[in-house]
Order: sequence, then structure tokens, then C-alpha cells
Amino acid sequence: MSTEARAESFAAADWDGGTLPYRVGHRKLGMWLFIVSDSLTFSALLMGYAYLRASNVWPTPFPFYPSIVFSSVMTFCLLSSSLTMVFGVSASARGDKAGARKWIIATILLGLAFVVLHMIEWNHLISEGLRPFFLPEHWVKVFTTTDGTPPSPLFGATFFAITGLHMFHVLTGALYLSVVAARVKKLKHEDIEISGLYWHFVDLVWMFVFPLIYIMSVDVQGLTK
Amino acid sequence: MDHQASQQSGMKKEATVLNVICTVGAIAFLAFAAFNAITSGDFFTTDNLFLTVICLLFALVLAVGPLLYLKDAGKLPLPFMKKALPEGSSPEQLGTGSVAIEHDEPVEEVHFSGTNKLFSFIWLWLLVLTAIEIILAYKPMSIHLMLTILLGLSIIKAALIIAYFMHLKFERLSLILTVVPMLVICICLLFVFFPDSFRSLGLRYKFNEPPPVEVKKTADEDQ
Repeated sequence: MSTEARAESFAAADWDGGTLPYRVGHRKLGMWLFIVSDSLTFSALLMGYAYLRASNVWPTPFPFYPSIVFSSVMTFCLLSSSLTMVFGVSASARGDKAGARKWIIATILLGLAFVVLHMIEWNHLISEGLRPFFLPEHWVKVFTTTDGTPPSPLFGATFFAITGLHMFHVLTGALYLSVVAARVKKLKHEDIEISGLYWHFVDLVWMFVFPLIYIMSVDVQGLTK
Repeated sequence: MDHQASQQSGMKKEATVLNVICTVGAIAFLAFAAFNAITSGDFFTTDNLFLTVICLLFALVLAVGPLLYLKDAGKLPLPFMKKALPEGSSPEQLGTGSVAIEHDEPVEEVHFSGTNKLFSFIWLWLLVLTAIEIILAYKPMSIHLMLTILLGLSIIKAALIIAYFMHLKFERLSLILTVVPMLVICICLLFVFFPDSFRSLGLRYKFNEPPPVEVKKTADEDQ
């Protein structure tokens, strides 16, 4: 077929029905659309955080240990879990379902490690006195500016909302993947790939949450000690 | 056969009209961006940058259709396409080519590109970029510069994850165009709130002199 003829038949053939215009199944397309909408949820939250941060005096309270060390290890866990997930998907593409199951279980374990580390990190902050709408007293003292403007108490709200929603996504993903791992032999390759899409999306979101929430709020001068 | 031919010519006419409309729209947006850049005295304000980015994005989205049509018809001179084609990549990966041929194939065929070595390499890059971010946190620099670098690195990391781990690089171009540009536009539209954010910082009551002790105490208790 000449290129010219192909160009002519392009519009008619692709969108007349009976074909898959995107060359992916409807479930995979559905997951992509879900990912788009979910990333808008996270962008809106991060944008709200940026709005508050730009219009307020904002505390930068995270010490190297435990906050930054923990969050870095968490990042490592999540990135590695993405790698094991992609290994699982490519094992399933080769038709090696048992291998896929092993890699997916490794992914779940790394995801759960992320959640556990994050819980410990939350616990550090909560025991220090951070609440959704209150800062610990010594943070307020330290971060009040020289002209007397106190730091915004909404720090905790943005922190717990964004990281909490992300943690919820990780937990949901671990649940989803455990169902996939249990039924791996009955599922088609595309279904495993779709679960991979979701998991990588969770990783992707953390790639924005980690720098914006943690790295941008590092307590370089050790004020909160 | 006659019927099919007339249907095809009808489709061709429709495609031409659509392409003309899209091209006009794209040119209009580009013209508006240029007009804005010329008439505004100080270009680098939040509003101007926002307007320019949005106009360029809309122009790009509108121009994609006609450009792809030209590419399919072989009328678009693309310097790198000819090199890319022979390297074993099927035209399907590059986008809209060879559409009519493969319609009757079953969908469940497994196509999965990329080797474990490639994925491990991507993972290493992601780790390196993360390490750079953590090191940057302890380098003294202005918060604006730091935010720019961090967001730049994050976008690179996100692009790596989407392209390789989420496999979008190996999908059809039409899926990429459906998923990515409108998401970018929607996220850019959210920037519309920032002028208000900066304004409300300016509206805040300034304590020009150190406040009396009692006032500070109540402010603390309010927290």
C-alpha cells in the first residue's frame, strides 16, 4: 500500500469502530485515563501546598536524621519496587508466570517497607507535637520571623494530607498487586501490565512529593534541635 | 466499490477541513503569544509567562493533527525519521503509520519492548538523580533556584518512569497525544492561582517593630 493510500484510509479505518484506535485494550486505556485523573488530584494538592507556602511564613523543620534519612530510604524502596515490578511484567511477557509472581511479591514487600518506614517517620513528627493544624511549640518559636510573623500552622495539614494520600495509594497498590500475584496464572499479560502501570504511577507521584515536601523543607541550620 | 470510493473522498474532504481549522487555530494562538510578547513591556511577569506557555501549548496541540497528517502523506521533511525506521522498529511504534494493515490481528498479542538491562540502567539513573536532589538540599542557594532545579530533576525522573517503566515510549503516538498534552495543560492552568498567593503574602499585616511580649504570647497560644 502506498503511503498516500494509507493516509487516506487512516481516518476512516481508525475511528469507524471495530478497531482499537490506540492499539491497547480498553482496560489499559481505562487505567491510563484513571492515572491522568489521579495525577490531577495530586497536582491540585501539591499546587494547594505551593499556594500556602508562597503566601505564608513556612517552617523548614526536617532534620537530616530521622526525616531525610528515612525519606531517602523510602525513595530507594519505591524506586526499587518499580524495577522489580517491571521485571515482573517482562517475565510475564515471556510467559514465565511463576517468575512474574515472584517479582510481584518482591514489589509488594518493598511497597510495604515503604509504608512501614513512612509510619515510623510520621510517628517521629507526631511525637514531636506536629498536628494537622498545629505546629510544635518549639518550631513556632524558632521559625517566627524577625518582624514577629509566626510560621503557618497549616504545615501539618499539607504534610499529612499529601503524604497520607500517597501512602493510601501505596497500600491500595499493595492490595491490588497481592490479588494479581494470587491470580497470576489466570490473568492475561495485559492485566499484569495494567497493575504495573498503577504501581509505577504511585512511584511517579513520590518523585514529586519527595523533593517538594521533604527536600524543600530541610532544616539546614539545625534550628529544631 | 463505488460507494467505498465516495465514502473515502468524503473522509478526505473532512480531514482537509479539519486540518485547515486546526492550522488556523494553531497560527492564531502563536500570533496571540507573539502579540502578547511584543506589546507587553516587561515580559517576565507571572501573567505573561502563564499566557505564553498556555498559548504555545494550545498551538502545539492544534498543530499536532495537521503535522501528523503531513507526515503520513510523506510531505513533512523530518531529518531523523529515516534513520530511526530501519533499526528494527516497526512503524507502529513511531505512530500513525501502517494503520490499515494490521486491523484484523487479535489484540491479545503480547508486545513488550525493552530489556531488563535497559530497565536496570533507567533505575540507576533514577537513583543518581535522587542522590543529586538530596545533596542539593544541603547546598546554600536561593529557594527559587533550588525549586527550579528540583522540579527540573523531578520532571526528568517522571519522564523516565513514564517512558520506560510505564512503557509509553513504546505505545502508539495517538495514545501518548491523548494522555500527555491535556494533562500538562490542565496542570499549567493550575498556575493561575499563584498571583493571588503572592498578593496575599503582600496583604499580610507587617510587624514593623518587634511586637510587645504579651501580643507575642497570645499569638503563640493561637498556634
